[in-house]
Amino acid sequence: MKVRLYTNTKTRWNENWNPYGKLETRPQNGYKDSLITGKPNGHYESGPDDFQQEFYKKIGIDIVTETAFHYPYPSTTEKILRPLINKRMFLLVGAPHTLEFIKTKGFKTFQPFIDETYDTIVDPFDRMQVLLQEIDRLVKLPIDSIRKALLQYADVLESNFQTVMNLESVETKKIVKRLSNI
Amino acid sequence: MIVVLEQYINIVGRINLLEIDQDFDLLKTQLLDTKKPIFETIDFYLAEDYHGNYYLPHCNYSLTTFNLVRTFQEVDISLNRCIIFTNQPGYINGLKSLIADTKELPIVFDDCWSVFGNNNLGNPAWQDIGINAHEIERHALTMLGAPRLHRNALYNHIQKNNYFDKIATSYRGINEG
Repeated sequence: MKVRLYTNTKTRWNENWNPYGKLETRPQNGYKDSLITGKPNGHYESGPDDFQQEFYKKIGIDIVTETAFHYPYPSTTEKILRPLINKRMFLLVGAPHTLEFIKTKGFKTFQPFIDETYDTIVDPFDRMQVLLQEIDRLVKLPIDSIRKALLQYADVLESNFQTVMNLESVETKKIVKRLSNI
Repeated sequence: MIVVLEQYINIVGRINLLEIDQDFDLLKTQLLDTKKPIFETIDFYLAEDYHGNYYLPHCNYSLTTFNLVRTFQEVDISLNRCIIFTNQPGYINGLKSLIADTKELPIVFDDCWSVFGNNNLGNPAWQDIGINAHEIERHALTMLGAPRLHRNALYNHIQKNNYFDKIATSYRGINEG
């Protein structure tokens, strides 16, 4: 049988999605707000400190930038767990339909306070534009609106936390059910 | 999880696609070393694909998936002896594009967050913290890890509009490797 393997690529991500450089996507020097302590985004050292930090208590919305953005399938990593565990609202800067996916896991989101139309937009450039517009709108709200929204969505936030706590058990049962039929 | 799985299947080998992604000869060697003359119904390879892959435009399978399928074909082991765990729902569609005979498809669990500890679920150190809305000081937080196009776009937008007092931001820049 003739086979042909691709050589490995230089990057795991196809990032050629910014047409004609319309968005400013050049990398910059690093920045870290003094509010954020510990090892933010400590992907390779993920432990409890990375998921649950004191500073989460001081913010209303986590703008989660998932690893994949221009991607054919929804994709999640540990990053989306942070707001779920810390009972915060979130926007997901990730692959299209990822919000739809996490809803299938039992999680709830924050429509209409956060306009989640972006999740349905497949074109990465257009999706990013809509996300940035929504961020613009949210940061212009009075801080009291954010506080009130957190209280308004308290049931959702509590529910999401419990769903994370039960996730391993639920997924294990699902896997066992399928394998037990082999 | 492995202990649980072993109650139902015999694990012939474990395939970490992140490790072999750079060199599929490693997988070829592994498969040749573990290949059985006849695989029993309960014999399976376990593959983990949690780290994202390179997709060509308009292609529903990644280069890694392509290489996985071709390597199994080269050593003449059916992919139906493989169970793939991933967190990418729809992953099976790429495999269907590469494997015409549905009986040859692997078992795919494509919505697993908890398996193999990638997401560090079940951590006993997590606390059930309060919502405490009155403590909110900033509208938002964003923790941007390694520079990627979408993170750069967001960071540049925050910087351009001077949102730093509204959005607590961390960003690992080009000066940090």
